[in-house]
Amino acid sequence: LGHCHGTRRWSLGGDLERHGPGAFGFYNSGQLFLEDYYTLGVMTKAGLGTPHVDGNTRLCTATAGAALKETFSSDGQPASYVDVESCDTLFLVGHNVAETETVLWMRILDRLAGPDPPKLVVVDPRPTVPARRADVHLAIRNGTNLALLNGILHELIANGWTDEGWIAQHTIGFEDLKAVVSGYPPERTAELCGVPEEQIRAAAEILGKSDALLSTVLQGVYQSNQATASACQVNNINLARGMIGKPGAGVLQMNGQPTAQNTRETGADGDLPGFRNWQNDAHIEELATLWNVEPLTIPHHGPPTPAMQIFRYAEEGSIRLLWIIGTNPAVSLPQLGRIRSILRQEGLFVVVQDCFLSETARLADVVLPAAMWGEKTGTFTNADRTVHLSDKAVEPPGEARSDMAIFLDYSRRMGFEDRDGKPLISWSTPEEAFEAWKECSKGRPCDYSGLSYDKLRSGSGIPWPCTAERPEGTERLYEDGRFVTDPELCEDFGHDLLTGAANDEAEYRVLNPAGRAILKAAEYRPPHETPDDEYPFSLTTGRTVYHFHTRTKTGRARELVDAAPDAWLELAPTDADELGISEGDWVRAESRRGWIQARARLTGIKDGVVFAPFHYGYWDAGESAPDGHPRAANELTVTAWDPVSKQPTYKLAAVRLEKVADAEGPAPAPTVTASAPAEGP
Amino acid sequence: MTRFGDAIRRAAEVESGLAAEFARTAVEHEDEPDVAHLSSLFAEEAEKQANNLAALATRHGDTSDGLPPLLDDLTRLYLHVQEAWIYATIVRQGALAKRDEATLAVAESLLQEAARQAKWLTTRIKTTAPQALTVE
Repeated sequence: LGHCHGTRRWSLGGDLERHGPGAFGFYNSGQLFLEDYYTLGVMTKAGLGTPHVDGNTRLCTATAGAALKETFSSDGQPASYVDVESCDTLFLVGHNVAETETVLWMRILDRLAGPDPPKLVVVDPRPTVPARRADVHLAIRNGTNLALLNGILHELIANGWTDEGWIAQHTIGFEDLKAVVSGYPPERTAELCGVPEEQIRAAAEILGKSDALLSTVLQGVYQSNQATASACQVNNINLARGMIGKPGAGVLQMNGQPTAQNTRETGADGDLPGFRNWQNDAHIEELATLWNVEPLTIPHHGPPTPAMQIFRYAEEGSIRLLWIIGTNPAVSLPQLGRIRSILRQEGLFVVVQDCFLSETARLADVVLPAAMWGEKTGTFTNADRTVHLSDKAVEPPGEARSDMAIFLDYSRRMGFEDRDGKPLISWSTPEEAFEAWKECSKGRPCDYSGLSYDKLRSGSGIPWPCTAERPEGTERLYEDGRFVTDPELCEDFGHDLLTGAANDEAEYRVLNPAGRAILKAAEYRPPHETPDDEYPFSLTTGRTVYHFHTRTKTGRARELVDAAPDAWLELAPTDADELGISEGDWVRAESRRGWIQARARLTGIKDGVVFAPFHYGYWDAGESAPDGHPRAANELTVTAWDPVSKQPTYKLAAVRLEKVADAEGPAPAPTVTASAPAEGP
Repeated sequence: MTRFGDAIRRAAEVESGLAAEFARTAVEHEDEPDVAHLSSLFAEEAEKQANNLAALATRHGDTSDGLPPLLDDLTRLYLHVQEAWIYATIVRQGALAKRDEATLAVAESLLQEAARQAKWLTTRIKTTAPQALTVE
């Protein structure tokens, strides 16, 4: 089983009896295949019985799932990418689509350059490429999404741009929503968000007069203050206008990684497979019957443990085995000094399963070499529910095996059995795993039962639900205006948006949504950490188009490395002037938790805001940690998360800046993206 | 010897104390027949449950360390919130009787806040307890 690094010894199984399943934690990925995730889900839930399973999707797309669950009571993307073709207005909220989903952006560019282009409204503190193309660009102060969206809802209601008949028939909660947003007139919203009042009015007018509104949301919302509450307000804008389930009209709560959707569907992010509700005993019974195990084996005594809490349990010593699969927390989690110290902690046994020797793998006790996507067969589902099959192209190198093969081997060695003493997991090939998943998803909102490998090979992707009745799949959800809010069917009973307190079944039944969507409102609250005299700048982090995640793959492609070879810090020219910083100067950025050094790029970013790309770590220097030269943005970020989705708040940290050395040339930042140099005076 | 055993032992003690309080109330307020009768009934119920729990605590073993610190503090907070909630209820009832709108408004907003606090604490305690009590 792989290569042993350290001196710590732990049996992957022997300690289960001694410590109990709660001592096992699994932190996986948004980059495996459906078959890998489902096998992991069954292995951890019905084999080990631990609730401590999460994906790094917690960092990128947990809020998408959470917001869909709050509004519609179940995960499931309402709209389709096809809606880009027929929308007349695009509302991109914290979504730098040009750098995060390049294919989708090409589709949008076709519309923007074609006849009858859609109107474009963009919310982003940076001058992203979509922002530069927008009819209205709302460059809000980071952390104020909720105030802005409440302000827009205020304008939609005040100007009669809502569809009252549709609202009455298909939603509940409109009176509460109205009461909350009445406190966000444009004057106050402008003040809170740091944008001109007339821009808020103009944006609301475009959204309010649109006949086919497609709204999209990504990390600018998900990784910021009041993430779930804000993402819900985007749902509310579309619902208040009856703009859902129709061609060109809908919401795309986007995903961050290629198979993030599957992590959420199969139970690899801790949720129960098939969007089942952990508070619904009938759902647990269905899984117990399917897997032929006792219902109490399946952990459902509380919501699944989110990633940050898994690391907290490891820190306090109750999780003793941490198995990390296809992700790199030593660069991607907030407050890296703390994360590295947890991973190095005496008494914690760290297993890393990956294709490359990442920073995290360098800190592991055991490394299990895993095959990459081209080296194995499996399916993946994109953000609009479209399922694709990816066939193996080449054999994996050396001892590497597919993630599924590793999980199957572990399950066999652990002797996981069902109630009849037969092996718990009966499949051995990806296709068999897919067939098992079809059975698990049948009758649920994410129904795959009408799909097969043959069918997926015979054409292009097919969006779920795909059943005998809908053999070609389902382009768009909720076309009949009926939502998944029946208590027996729904995935979740919802939460208090401010605290994350969970509703129980009785509370949910009192709401009586009965197939109607739930309009949830929330008051804006300032972020935990705001700039002050000591740390006067607001740091936000994010992607550049040339790299993905922590560069474990893109950092090995020469063209991509040449395009964005090293970290940088973006700041506004006026701020740079005050600090005596010029383009390319070496700058030290310091927060209460750590510091980094990188070269300065002067851009059209909002005054007072600093941006750092999150890709850069230390593996290419052969290190797991900075050797006197810290450059990972997460050295600075804060340990804090959204109360509902538990997604970490990467886009808000107070920092101070200081010039440390003169430029030798321009910053190593791309020049044609959001990082483009500011235009001259 | 487990923290789980400690939690059961604590529940047994609470239940036993509750039985005693109900029994005392039944005697103290025998002129209020409904209070007296129901208190006697509840005292019996609580006594039985105290015995059930004590037997389970013995079976699971206890360390007499009490609840782990975070769980202990959250539990204390929850009890405190319940106390605040019931006093606010009493104040609200008084304010209704006195037609005192200012006091009524404060009591009602307090009730709302207490309900949210209790709900959050319940959620957090439910998540914390399994790990704090059962992982060795």
